[in-house]
Amino acid sequence: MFPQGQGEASARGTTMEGDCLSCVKYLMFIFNFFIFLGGTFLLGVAIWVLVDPTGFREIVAANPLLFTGVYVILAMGSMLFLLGFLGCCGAIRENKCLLLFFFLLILIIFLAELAAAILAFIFREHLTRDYFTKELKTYYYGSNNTDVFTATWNTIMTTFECCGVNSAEDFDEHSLFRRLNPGRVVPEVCCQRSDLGMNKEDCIGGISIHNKLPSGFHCTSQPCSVLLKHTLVKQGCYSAVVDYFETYIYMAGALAIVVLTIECFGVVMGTSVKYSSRGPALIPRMKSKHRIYYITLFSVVLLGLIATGMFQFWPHSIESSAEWTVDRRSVHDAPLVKLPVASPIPERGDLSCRMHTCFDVYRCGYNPKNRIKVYIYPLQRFVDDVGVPISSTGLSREYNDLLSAISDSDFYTDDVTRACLFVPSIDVLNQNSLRIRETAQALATLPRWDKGMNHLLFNMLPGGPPDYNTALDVPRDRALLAGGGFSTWTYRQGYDVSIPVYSPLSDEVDLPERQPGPRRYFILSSQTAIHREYRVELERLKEENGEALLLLDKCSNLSQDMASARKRCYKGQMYDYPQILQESSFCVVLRGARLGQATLSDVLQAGCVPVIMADSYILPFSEVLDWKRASVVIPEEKLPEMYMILKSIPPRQVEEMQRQARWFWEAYFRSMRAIGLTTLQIINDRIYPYAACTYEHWNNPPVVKWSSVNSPLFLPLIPPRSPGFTAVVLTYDRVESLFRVITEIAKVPSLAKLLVVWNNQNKSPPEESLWPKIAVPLKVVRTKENKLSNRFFPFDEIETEAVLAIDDDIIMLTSDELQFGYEVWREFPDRLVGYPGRLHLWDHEMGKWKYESEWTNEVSMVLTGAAFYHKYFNYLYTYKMPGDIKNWVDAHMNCEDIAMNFLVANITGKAPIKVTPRKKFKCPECTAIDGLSLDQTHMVERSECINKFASVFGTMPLKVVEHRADPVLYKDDFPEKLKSFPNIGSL
Amino acid sequence: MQARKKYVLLGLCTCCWLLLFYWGGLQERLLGFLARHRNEVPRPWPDWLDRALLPAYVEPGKLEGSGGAGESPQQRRQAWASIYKDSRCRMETCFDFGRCRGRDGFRVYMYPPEKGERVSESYRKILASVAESRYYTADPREACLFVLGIDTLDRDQLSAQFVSNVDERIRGYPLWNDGRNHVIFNLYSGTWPNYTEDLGFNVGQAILAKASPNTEHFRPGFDVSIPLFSKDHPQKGGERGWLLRNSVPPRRKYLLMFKGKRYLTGIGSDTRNALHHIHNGKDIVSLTTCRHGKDWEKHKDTRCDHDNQEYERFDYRELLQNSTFCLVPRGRRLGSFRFLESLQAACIPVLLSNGWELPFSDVIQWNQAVIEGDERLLLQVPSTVRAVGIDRVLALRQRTQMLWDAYFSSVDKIVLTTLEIIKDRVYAHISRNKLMWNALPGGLLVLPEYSTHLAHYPFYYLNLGVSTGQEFTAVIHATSPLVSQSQPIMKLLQVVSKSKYCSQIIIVWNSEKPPPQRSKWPPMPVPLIVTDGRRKVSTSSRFLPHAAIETEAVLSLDEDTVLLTSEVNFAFLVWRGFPERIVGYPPRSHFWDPVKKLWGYTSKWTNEYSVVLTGAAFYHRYYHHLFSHYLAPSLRALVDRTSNCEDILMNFLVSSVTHLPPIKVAQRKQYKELPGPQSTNMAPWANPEHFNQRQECVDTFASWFGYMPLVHSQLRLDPVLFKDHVSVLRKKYKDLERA
Repeated sequence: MFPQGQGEASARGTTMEGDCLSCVKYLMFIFNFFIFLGGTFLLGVAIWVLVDPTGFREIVAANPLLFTGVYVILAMGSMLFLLGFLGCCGAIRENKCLLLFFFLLILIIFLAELAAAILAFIFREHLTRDYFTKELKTYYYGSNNTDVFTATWNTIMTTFECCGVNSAEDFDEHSLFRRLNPGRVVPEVCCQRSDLGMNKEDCIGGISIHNKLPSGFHCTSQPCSVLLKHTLVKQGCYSAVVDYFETYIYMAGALAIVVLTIECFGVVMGTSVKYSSRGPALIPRMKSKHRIYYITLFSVVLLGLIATGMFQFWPHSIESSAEWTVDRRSVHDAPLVKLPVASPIPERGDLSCRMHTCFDVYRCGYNPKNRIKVYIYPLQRFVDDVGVPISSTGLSREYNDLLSAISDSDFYTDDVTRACLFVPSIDVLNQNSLRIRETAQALATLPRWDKGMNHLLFNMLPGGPPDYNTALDVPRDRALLAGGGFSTWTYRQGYDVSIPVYSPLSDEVDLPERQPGPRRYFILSSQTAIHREYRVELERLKEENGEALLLLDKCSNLSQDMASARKRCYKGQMYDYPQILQESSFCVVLRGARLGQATLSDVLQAGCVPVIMADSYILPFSEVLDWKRASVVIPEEKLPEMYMILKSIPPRQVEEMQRQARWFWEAYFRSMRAIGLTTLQIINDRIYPYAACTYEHWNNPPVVKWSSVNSPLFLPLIPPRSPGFTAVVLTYDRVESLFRVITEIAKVPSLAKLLVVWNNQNKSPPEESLWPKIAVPLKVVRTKENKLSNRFFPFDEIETEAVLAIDDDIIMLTSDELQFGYEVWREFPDRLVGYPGRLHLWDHEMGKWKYESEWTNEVSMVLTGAAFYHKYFNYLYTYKMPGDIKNWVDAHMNCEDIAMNFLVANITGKAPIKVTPRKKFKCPECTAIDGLSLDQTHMVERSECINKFASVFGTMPLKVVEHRADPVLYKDDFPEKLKSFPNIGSL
Repeated sequence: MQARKKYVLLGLCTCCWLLLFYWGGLQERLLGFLARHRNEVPRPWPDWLDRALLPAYVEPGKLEGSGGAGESPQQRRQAWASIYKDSRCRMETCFDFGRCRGRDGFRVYMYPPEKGERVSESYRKILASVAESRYYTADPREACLFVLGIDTLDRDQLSAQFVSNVDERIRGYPLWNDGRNHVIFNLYSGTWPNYTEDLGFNVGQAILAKASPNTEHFRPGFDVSIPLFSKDHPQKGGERGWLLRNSVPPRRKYLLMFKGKRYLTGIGSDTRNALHHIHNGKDIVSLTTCRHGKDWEKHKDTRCDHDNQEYERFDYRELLQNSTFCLVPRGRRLGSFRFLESLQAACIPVLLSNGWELPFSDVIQWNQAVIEGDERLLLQVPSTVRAVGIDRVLALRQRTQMLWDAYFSSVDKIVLTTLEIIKDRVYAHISRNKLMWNALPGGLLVLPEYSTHLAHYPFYYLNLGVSTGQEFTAVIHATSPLVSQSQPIMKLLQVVSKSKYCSQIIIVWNSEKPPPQRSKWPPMPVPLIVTDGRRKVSTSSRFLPHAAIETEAVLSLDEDTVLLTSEVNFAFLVWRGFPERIVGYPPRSHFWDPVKKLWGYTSKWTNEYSVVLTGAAFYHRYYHHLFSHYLAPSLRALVDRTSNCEDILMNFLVSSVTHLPPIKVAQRKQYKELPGPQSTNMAPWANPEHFNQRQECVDTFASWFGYMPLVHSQLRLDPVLFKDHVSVLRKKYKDLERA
């Protein structure tokens, strides 16, 4: 680029320029000197860190991020060192050669930057969140991993208190992390804020709840997030890091611009330096006007550079501040829209609408995430042609909360073309505040209205005097209606969503959760606006049953102000509402003029069982919530029998309902956010029914979710005998013993196939001709690594349901014993059925679990050195083992059987079955070294395994039993030859 | 020279541009600004400055009292009854709850079929099921629900089974009352070409139990959707599902299959005509034929011949067996036989039938057993089913079997489910919740009158994450009078009361003599209750749902049982691991006698057993209730008449609920069936007649259940160190080994 050899023709410079140039020269010297110093310092530090084995390295080596950082520092240090040196020496000595190198270096840096910039520009898609998200999903293992990538991420997440790239939900079911750690939804490092609210165990526990959901694992809907709210770090690392560095970036950017500018000046002037002093120069000699021309050009370019650079680094904040001002707007700044009198009115809602007739499903499309996209119209203020607003309240606080909750959720999209569902920003929560006709017109003006197709309206108080319709009276074409207080005649099943009437008290009053149990009053009626006939009826009940009933009404002596909503009276005695609700087991929720009552929400909040008497009322979210578990629904005409009916409910059921009621409130009633997102989830479930949340997900409170078990093999089946079982023999190099095992197993009638897992990479398995000749197919699988987990890999070669895992030294089991083991497995196909049994015990002194292999009366594990189990557990072990248990097992070369016992017990909630009497499980040939089981350190290690696994599972899933399985006639006084399995228990 | 300058200039300009480009992103930003101004890009909902000032959606005071209390409830109810009729019927307006308040509650009356009445095979089965159900009554006055004697199953006018003049005939019924409290069964409605929901007569306010109803016409909470079943559908018992084992990976040879007719014209043809598009010849097999009806060749199109050829190549049954998912598209009507077929075959149904109200949709959570597709999105079906993970396939498949077995495998179950759904509506406060309906063993075997609390049943411990109770109640069946203190019952009382898990003992006194004084019984650490079972004079009184039983576990004992405390303790601990089964000591077995072609019963020592005698057995107290209320009165009558077989019946019952064998536990020595010391009063089992009766019982019970529910087991549960070569001191249950 810099043409050489031009200098020959150089001329002398003028002295006038000399002063200025020497100034530049010294400026350049000083700058480069500083750069040189900085470079030296960095280099020194980096080398020190790398070389010094004791002090720094320990700290640094523990932190891989720092460790990689050292190399970066080293590289940067040497670069700056060189640059500084060259520039500094070159300038002061005015050495052409040095300067040339200096310029070349700068040029290279520039070019590299340029290249990087261009690459960055071209691949900017990849460097964005998506790229990082993909990387994270593909390569991130989990907490406590030694892999550099994973460790780096862990450090980032810990340092910046963030989780995932975008949010904790990056760890979705497709991510490597989730596949490796089926027990978790997020890595441990995401549960950091342990001092806020719950502790860490609860966080992990809360997460484990996810994995306990059987088939619909992937409901990441709102109730789950409610669950994890206090403990899970929500912020994504991308924004966290960007936030963190934002200020620094601006500063560094500005600094870089200044330095570079000076360097550039240096380049320009530097040419002059050489030109003036030594004669040979890099720029062709030219006339002074040309030089001025060049200098002007350079200046302009530099100015441009500075300007654009500033723009580059400034606009971020300029823009965000612009957004800030835009964002922090007042509702009254929303654009005003005038509705002409003659603007079209939608048709009245069509009662025959269903999802397949009135809903455009093509808008939602096939979507790998199975999540609908919801668009919210920007706020507009509608007025009629004389300027009167269409609603007396405008946007209400509740509706605003609802919309912001939606816009914060996963459902939200700002791309109107990709949206599947549209939510108007016209607030129709309360019909009383609306002008029906004008509201309808306003709806019709929405740009995507299209006969209300795919539009969702939220309404809580429908109808108006005198007849109080149970659905919103605003004509709304085909729009879906999420309404409070539907009756069965207005509710379009499978189309509309019945939502609760939000009670402002949910937010105002904090009622702590109360333990379920009997309360002071049996029945409480706290509503003020119930019909006189009902009140008479209730009074009569009160007379009959006395103290068990509490019948409250409005306080007459209070003025009609705010306080009256929070007070109730009975015969002059005043009670606090809603606190009084907590004092009663059952609370009456009668229909008023409307079917939906906000009282229901208060009652649930108080953990009082609602007694709902509102004929034809569609209970909130009844499509997914099982109200029978949380409430008592009594026909209105049975009001007189209420007491009898409620008395007949078993007390334990009442407690259960109290707990359930409170859970419903917490998950689905407590805020507009909960109401809104539940509604969207219900619609989402309809559109993607195959990904819908399960009954358990919707209805089980966290406590139950945590402790309940839904076995993946729940159907009671006794599989047929004929397919037999596949024996999987894990072996390393004990060929002789292996062959004996093979010959022994081959005698078992039900053996279908024999699979030898050859775990020795250094040695090839013996030739085919050397293997024992057996009647069933024998396959040898060679593994890539000597891992214990290989034994549990779901090999395609295993075609039977039943797998017999057996060690290559278990030769003492008779054919009868193995056959009987298989028969027992057939009766318990969802359990581990094994021969040697083991036990776990709680060591009170040490305060931890202990492994026990003594001759005890109890069993909680069976060793997989000889055990039958379902092939599905292989799949679970390999792909769904929670936490880093698999790595632990492979690293310790031990405990794979304990891990399997934990896994099976955790997912089925059942104990293993030990078969046949105790035998000495020690091969006669094995040397003392092989007899690991007796080794003391071995026992300690296995105890550690139990403790480790218990902490990963967050609970101790193992079940202790005192029985084992024997043949029916075992040891009975009966001719041996008539027994099916005579040869059992013999040595 | 000039040229070089130009190049330099040009080079510099390029550099500048590149640098600008690098520094800038300028254009992008400018464009962004321009675009924003042009298009007003929407942002997430703004955080309003004046959020706190926004009004509440309703004033707090008005929320409670808004709109007053409305009209009088009584007037409203009357008004409703006149407004919401016919197509807008609901239980509140079209059903007379007053009729169901009788002493016995829910009773079903069936109009006797008229002479010469032609009744189709299917309807005959329905009527038989109603007649045999425990709700049947012959007295219309005490009935809550009425079933027509007229065959209304096939309302297709072109059908041979169409019954005309139904309208006039039902009006002739004195109790018709515009159909109130009547239930009308129907499988086919409407006729070619539209196949509407029209039944051809005025249903009035009767509940429709109808196959393939449309959500639009379906009266929610009032009508019942039933599955379409063929006339060969078994009356009772029914074939079990085809799923014998949970193979892993669960995918079968084909991913998705369909084999059926293609309608060339008319309703339903859109969907069926499009089905061939997803056929790929490899893992998705979608075969259609045009060959049906008389004049198919008239409408035949270009695909027909090719399709017909391909169609012949595959066998439907084989496809059912070898396919993971089965398409169930709409036919002329919304539902089809295919639905039940694939449910039974454990081929997960993929529904393409928009607007079909699925069978028993009130109570069954179908999204856990089938894939609900959308006719409009047929082409997405392959990718949808491909995306279903293996865990879910496994779960869905097992659920198809569970539902098939619980509700669909026989006409009996379909009819009974219909009745139970209606009953649950009538007695809403004592009804099953969704979990009871959808978890094993299914709603029909869960009687809500027993309890509405899930943990009171033996089935839901794992679902709820709770464990069984720590105590049991011993129920001793006493038949011989108390004469001496050395009688076996005294010894038994001592033994049982010594168990630390025993919370109370109930003696069911069934002897002719009155129960002895309280002082005659030995003092005991646990409460002793003596109930007089004589008035009932029945053997099965042992299984009466004694209200006194407070624990979940019941230890049922005969008075002459010889047991040890440690045996009782051990058996109880075993029971806690298997709360839904019978855990007992003496085993018996059933077998199929191929010569006599009937089921036999043996008390010989065998290598397998399928019955555990309830003379000494633990089981859940819920089975008492089920025994008394679920089984047909005729069976209990048989047991009472013969004073025999009650234990076999109990085993039948429990096995039919669990589909699993009972559990035998170790016992010190064999159950000695010695006659009591009073040889005059010979024990009934010494009588050979007694044994023959039992043989007969097994056969009778099997025919009532419609199949043989008993299952064999080959194992016995012993204490872990049972008869092991270890020091006796180590053994917890050493008593069991003393011969």
